[in-house]
Amino acid sequence: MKTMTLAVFLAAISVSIPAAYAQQVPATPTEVAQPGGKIPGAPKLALVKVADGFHDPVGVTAANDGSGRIFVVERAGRVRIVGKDGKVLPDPLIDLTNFNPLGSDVQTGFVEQGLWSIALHPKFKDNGYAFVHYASLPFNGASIIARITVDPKSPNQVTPEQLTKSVKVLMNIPQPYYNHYGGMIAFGPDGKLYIGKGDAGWEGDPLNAGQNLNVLWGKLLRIDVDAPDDEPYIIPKDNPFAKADKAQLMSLFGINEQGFAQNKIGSRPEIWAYGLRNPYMFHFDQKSGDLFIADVGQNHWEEINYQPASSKGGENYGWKFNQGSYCHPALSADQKCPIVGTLPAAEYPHEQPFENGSKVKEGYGCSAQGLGVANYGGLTKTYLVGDWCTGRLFGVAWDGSANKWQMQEFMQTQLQFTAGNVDADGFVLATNCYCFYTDDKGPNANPVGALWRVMPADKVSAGMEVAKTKGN
Amino acid sequence: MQLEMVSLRRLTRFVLIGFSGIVGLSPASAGDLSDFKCPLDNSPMTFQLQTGEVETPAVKNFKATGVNEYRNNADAIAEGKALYAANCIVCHGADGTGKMGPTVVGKDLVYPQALTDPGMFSIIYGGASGAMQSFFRRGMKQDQILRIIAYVRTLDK
Repeated sequence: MKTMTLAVFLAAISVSIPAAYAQQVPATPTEVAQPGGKIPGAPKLALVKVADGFHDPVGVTAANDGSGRIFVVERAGRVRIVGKDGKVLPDPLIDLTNFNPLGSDVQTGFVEQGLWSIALHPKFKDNGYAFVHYASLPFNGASIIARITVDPKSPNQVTPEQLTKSVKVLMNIPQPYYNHYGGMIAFGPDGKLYIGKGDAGWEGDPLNAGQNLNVLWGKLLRIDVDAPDDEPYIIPKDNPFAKADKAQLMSLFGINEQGFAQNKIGSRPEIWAYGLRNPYMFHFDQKSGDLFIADVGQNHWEEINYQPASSKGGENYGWKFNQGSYCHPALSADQKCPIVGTLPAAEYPHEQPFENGSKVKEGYGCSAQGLGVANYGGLTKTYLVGDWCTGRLFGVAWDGSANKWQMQEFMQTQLQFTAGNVDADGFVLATNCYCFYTDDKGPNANPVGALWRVMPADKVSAGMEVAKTKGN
Repeated sequence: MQLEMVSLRRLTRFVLIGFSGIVGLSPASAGDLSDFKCPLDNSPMTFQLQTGEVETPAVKNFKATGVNEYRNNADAIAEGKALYAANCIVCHGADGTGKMGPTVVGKDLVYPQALTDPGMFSIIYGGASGAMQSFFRRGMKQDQILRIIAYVRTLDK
C-alpha cells in the first residue's frame, strides 16, 4: 500500500512539474507566440521551385514508396505526378473529372470547393490504397472521403474503369454552405486517418458547429480505415468520444458529476478534437508524432494549434468563443472574455487585428496554410506556415532556451500559399495557386501554380529557381 | 543608346518637376521613374503588352515621364471608377481605406512606392504579394491601370 502511494505520488510529481525544456501547450494568452520571435538555430530559407504547370494546386503528398514520386492535387479533381526527376507526368494518377459519364464528380463552383487532398495508406506500397477528400458535385457539394486502389500494374494511372471498380466511399458529409470545408486528410503515426473538417461555412459559425459534438463540422476527425469492405470505417476505441453516446440505463444516484459529464448524448465518435473553424491543413511531426493544426481564422486572427503525441484527444480549440487567444467577435485588444479550451501555440493577425483599432504593417496575413514540420538545416520540429494573402512564410517552434514558443517570419513572397507536406527526404513542400477569392476564373482557367521546396538558403545551387522574396 | 535614354529620362524628370511646380500638381502626381519597381525586392520592372494591346499615348507618355495624364480627365476617372469597382473594391473598399486588403489612400501605405503613380502602376501591373497578384496576368491593359490610378487618387482627400 505504501509503495503504491509513493508510486502515485511520484507519478503526480512527474505530471505536475514538466521538465523545463519540454514543449508545453500555452496556459495563458501571454504564452501564445506571435510574429516577431526568433527561432534558435533557424537558417535563412529559400523556396526552390520543384515543378510548375499545375491547375490550382491545393494539396501535395509524397508517395513515400521508394519511387520518389510526389503527388500534387489539382482542385478540379486531378492528382498529378511529379517524378523523381522533377518532371510532371502528362496523365494524372487519379482523375475524378472523367470517370462519371455525366461529367466531373467534383464541385468547384467556389474556390474553397474541389479536390483538396490525397492521403496514402501506411501500407500503400503493398495495397495501393489512396484516400481522397473532395466536394462532390452529385451530392451538392457534400464532402466525400473515398478510397481508390491503385493497380500495381498501372502505378502511375488509375483508369476510369479501375477507379469505378475499386472506389469505396467512407464518408459523405453534407455541407450547408459553400465555404469552410477543411480539406486535408492524413494518416497519423498511429495509422489512423485524420480528417480536417471546417465549421461548414458562412461566417461566425452560424450553426455553432465548432462547439457542437453532435456534428462532424468544425472538428478534427479520426477513423480507422482498416475495416471490412462492407463497413466504411471503424471508430478507434480510444477516440475521446468513442463511447460518450453509448446506450445505457440511466442512473441518477451514486454517480458523481464527472461521471454525468461524460455522457455526451448524440456526440459523434469520430471526433478527435473540436472548436476548430477551418483546419485546411494539419501535419504530424514525423519524428515525434506531435501534431500541428493551422486553423484558418475569420476577420482578425489566424491560429496554429499544437498537440503533443501523448494527447488523448478531446481538445477544444475554442472556436467560436475565441480566435487565437482573443475574443470572438474580436473588438479590441483589451477586450475581456473567457478563454475556452486549449490555447494555440502561435497566432498571427490580419492587417487589422481588431474591429476597433489601428492596422499593422508587418507580420500579418489572412489565411494560415500549414505546410509541414521541418527538422533540417538547423530547424527542429518547426511548423512552417504559409499565408494565402500576403505570401509570408512563418515558422513556429518551441524555444527550449527561453522556454516558450517562437513565431518567426522567414520570408515574404509573392505567392498565394495553398498547401504543403513533407517529401520523402523530410523537406517541406509548398504549393501556390493564382486563385484568390476575387480572382477565380475556375480551376482549369486560372494561371497555373507551382510546387516548391523549402530549403536552407545555403543549399541552393546554381540553376535552381528561387521564389522572389522581400529584401529582409 | 541606353545611356542616352537614361539621361533623356533624367532630363525629362527635371523638366517635369519644374513643370509640376508651375501648374500646381501635387508632388505625387509627377511620378518618380525610379518607382517603376517590384515592391518586394525593388527589382526594375519590364512591362509587357497583352496580346492585341496597343500602347496608348497616355501609357507611352507615362512610361517616359511618370505623369499620368488621366489625373484630371473626368471620362478616364469615371472609367477608372468602374474598373476599381470590378477589380479592387472587394479588398480595398469603396473609399480605398482597405477591407481585406490594405489602404490605398493616405500617406501611410504598406508599400510606400504606391504614393507615386509609377509605384502604384508597378504594383497593379506586377502584383505585390499573396492576394495582390499581377493584373497583367489577369488580362488588364496598361491604359486601364492608369485610369484606375487616376480614380484612386480622387479618393485621396
